[in-house]
Amino acid sequence: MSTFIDFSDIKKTYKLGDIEIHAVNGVNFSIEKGEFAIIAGASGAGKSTVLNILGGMDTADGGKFYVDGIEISKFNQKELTTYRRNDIGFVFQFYNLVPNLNSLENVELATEICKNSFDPKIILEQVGLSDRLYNFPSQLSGGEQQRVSIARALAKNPKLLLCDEPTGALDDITGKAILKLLQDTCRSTGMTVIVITHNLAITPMADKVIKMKNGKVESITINETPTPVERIEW
Amino acid sequence: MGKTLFKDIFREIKKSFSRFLAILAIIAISIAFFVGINMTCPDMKITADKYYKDNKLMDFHLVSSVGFNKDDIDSIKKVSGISGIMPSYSIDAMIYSEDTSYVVKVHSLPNIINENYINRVSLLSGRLPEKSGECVIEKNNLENINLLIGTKIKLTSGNSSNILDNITTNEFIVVGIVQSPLYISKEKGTSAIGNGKVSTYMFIPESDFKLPVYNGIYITSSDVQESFAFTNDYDLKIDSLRKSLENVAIERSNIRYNEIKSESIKLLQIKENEFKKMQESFNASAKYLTNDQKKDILLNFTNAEKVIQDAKNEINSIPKVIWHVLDRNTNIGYVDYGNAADRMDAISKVFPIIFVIVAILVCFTSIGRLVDEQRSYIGIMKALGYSKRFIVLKYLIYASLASLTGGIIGILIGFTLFPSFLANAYSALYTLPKLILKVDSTFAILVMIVAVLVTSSSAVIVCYETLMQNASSLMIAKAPKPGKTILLERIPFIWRRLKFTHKVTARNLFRYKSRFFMTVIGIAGCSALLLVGFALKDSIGTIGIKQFGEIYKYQMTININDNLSKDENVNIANTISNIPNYESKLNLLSKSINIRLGSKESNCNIIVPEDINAINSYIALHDRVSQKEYELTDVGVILTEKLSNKIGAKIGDEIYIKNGESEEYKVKLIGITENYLLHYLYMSPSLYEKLYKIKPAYNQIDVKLTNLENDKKYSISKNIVSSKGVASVSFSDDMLEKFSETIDSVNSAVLILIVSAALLSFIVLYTLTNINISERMREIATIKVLGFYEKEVSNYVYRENLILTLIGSLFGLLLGFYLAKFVIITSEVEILMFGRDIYLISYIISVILTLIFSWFVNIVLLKKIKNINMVEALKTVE
Repeated sequence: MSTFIDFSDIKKTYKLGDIEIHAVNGVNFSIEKGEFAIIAGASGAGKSTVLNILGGMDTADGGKFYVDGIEISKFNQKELTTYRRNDIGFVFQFYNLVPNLNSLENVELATEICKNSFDPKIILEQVGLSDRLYNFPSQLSGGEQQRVSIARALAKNPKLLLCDEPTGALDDITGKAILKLLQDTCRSTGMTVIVITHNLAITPMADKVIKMKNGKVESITINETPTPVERIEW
Repeated sequence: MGKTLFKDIFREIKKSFSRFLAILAIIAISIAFFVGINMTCPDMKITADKYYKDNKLMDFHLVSSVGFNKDDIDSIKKVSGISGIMPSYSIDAMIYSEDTSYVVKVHSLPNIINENYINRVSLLSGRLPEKSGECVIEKNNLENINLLIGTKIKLTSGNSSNILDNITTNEFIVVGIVQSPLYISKEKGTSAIGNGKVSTYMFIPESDFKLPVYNGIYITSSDVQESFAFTNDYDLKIDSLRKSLENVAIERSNIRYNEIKSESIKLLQIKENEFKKMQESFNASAKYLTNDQKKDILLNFTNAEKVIQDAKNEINSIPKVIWHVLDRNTNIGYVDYGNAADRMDAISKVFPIIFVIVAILVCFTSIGRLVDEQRSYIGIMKALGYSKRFIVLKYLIYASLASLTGGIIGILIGFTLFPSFLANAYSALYTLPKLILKVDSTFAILVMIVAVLVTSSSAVIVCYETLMQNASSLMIAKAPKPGKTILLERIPFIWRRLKFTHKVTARNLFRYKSRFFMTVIGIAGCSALLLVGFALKDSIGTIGIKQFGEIYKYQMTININDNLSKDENVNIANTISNIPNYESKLNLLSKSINIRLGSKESNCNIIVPEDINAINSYIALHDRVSQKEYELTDVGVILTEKLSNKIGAKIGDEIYIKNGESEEYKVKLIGITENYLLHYLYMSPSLYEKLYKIKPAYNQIDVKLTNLENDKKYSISKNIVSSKGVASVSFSDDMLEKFSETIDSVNSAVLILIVSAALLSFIVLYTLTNINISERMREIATIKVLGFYEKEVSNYVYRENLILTLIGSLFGLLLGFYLAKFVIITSEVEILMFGRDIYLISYIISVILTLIFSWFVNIVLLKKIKNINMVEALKTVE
């Protein structure tokens, strides 16, 4: 396996009035292609900031990072948009579906604009929503909405799937099903998946666990034999 | 409890300042426009009224065909209700420069300044005349002569008479520049000399006139000292003096006629007596004379008898003395200015409707959004045990504060800036002192009360629904409006063809119905205002072109005096046919008559052409809509369109023509013809003869000329006017030019409409789009995360605006069409019919301008979309 993502000394500082907050203060890590990685830490540890920078939604104040050999940290806004458009799939805690579009259309919203997308219907079938294609978000349960959200991210055929607390708003059983979907996707398509969570209980399922604390990487653990999701309890 | 509440309100205002500002702005602008446009007409009239009062403009102007002698003046002085009386002299004279000449009206300036000094001049610079040979003139407006203080002016009569018969000297030195209340308009009336148009005026000492009698008497009424010019009150109160003066006029004109007659008879009798004596002495001495001598003397006697007989005949044909009692409505400046002010007033009727509607819409949406955002706050307040009344107070005060501040700003601007700006546009056309800005405090307070009531009640109404829910449900976030399948999707034929992003737009349009309607209404108001503006311009702009270009096909009109001898008529006809480029002419009779149908009566001019077959090639008689030509026959008469509307006559009706007080002729209406200026009744000569029992006396000649060159006009008119019996000459294209000047005053009104439409659309679209963006912050952030480029994101939001703007402006055109009709008809003055057509280009420009305004709003709000922070927007929980 080759190094797919390489973070070196990434820094991000927010200013709140006169106070400077070092959300991320020199983060270094690397992730291999096809890995299922989990970034874990308490609230305010800086994990979301890392994900936002990695996903091109935010820019770093210092340091460099590469994705697939390209230096993303020097991209301008327009290049970042193109990067998000073609290379990144996002899954959020609160799904962020467009309320005015049905499931199929929410997926189409993403595939309309990118180059090597998959057929939205097939992807929705794969996430188990073949009979919910024409329902609007308000007519779907939380788990179903998150599946749509994953389908929307996957349909773009991204290089990288970034998930910010994907189970945060779901009950345990639904949450597990979602995590399984993500893990299976990673295994079957060879897509690199990064999941952010504050729930340390799920870390055994990952290939690599990056623990963060106070804006820095506390430890990086590699699981040689990840535990299947079904066997994890929390 | 009050302190915390106010603290909270002020923080709220600070936090959502742009929303507070939007409510404030729409109220300020609505009120500024409403007040401003409503005050322009009164301000204009008050300014003129004050000027008239200060300068003692006459209420009546008496003119007589033989002038006024001392007895006339004495008997007028006895009429009760007169405040001031000033007999005056005036003559028309010519001023020549190298190659042009101008007609100047020369007025007498009284020597003594007292209560009776009417039509006082305002001295702008220099001084008033102190001795013979000095004059004061109007501020220079002549193109080719520069008249300044110190300039010498030489006056000539402009016809065969000697001007020194009327004034003691014909050379005057300018000692001052004045402004007379008689002439506030550029138009100063007509003259029988020169080109027929009075170009300027001057005042010379009364003692420089040596006319035997005064030729005008100015009178002010004591009944109207407290009345305002241009009002009904004035018109009513002036009437009793008019009646008294008319009675004196009848009485004195008879006396004067008899005096003149008896004086002539006396002279005749003296001559007759002399003749008798001679005859007697001849008879006595006849026997001493030779036959030849007798023969000579008898021949002389026959000649003398003939002279006496001629004189007797002449005495019998002495024309009746006619007095005219003219009021201010015969002063061109007074009438024009009053009409201009009234036009402003008509426009002001449209504004309140549109602005009030839009102001209410904006208040509703803005406060509605505020209350929506504050659901949980309201929930907490309820949970804490505050009463509904207390909670609503916050929004009530918020809205009232916005409307109160906005209202005060609006009133300040409305009472000052607007009238000045509008009146400024008129200042090029009328010479008046600086506009008086009247502050009508009752009006201001009333407007304020309405504004505050409207905004505060909209606050209460939008709060109501939220307040009715219980605290616990309020503290749970309101779910975003769910998506729904729209009707359009059930038409797969269309739906399938739409691009994906277009489908999204279509859904969004129907998702927020209230926003849909509000935008459409706001934009419709904007387009409607624009269309009204352009329609006004179209309709007023076409009057001249249609009347003098399409309806009147002749190039020149000559008015000749009544009762000319045959030789004089032939002479005039020869002069006309010798004009270079002369093509043909038509003799007409034109005089003022009254007609009626039922109880509706109107004054108009009767036109009788000598040749009924030729009339249509001089004056197009046709229906305005169908353009079908009418033939003037002996069956009946043709009326002009506005006249027939005025008396309510339709084709086929029988109408009555009044002749004097008692007699009436019944005629059939056979056609209603397109016409824009003045009222006319067209009749064939044989019908005229049948009704009036006399042959028509033609007093007007319409002349067709080919290739009339502008610089030839002067020499042509000078040539014709110099013929005996010609009263005036006018050219159609001069009239056309005069009408194009009135369009300038309309332009300012159009500009006002455009500016207000722009502001209106800006506020509506800004408020609604702003709310739209705020409500959909997450959605926009999401599509940004998905990798939509900036342009794609703004299209995603703005495509809706574009469609709403298009729908709105189409409705606006419909609304504007009817509004324009209303405005045009209400702002029409009595003697004018405005054009009824709105040109296609006006519709197109209205829509294009609306689109540009909305595009501008989009540009302004683009920054807001750009600045949406994806990370922040997606973090928040809805």
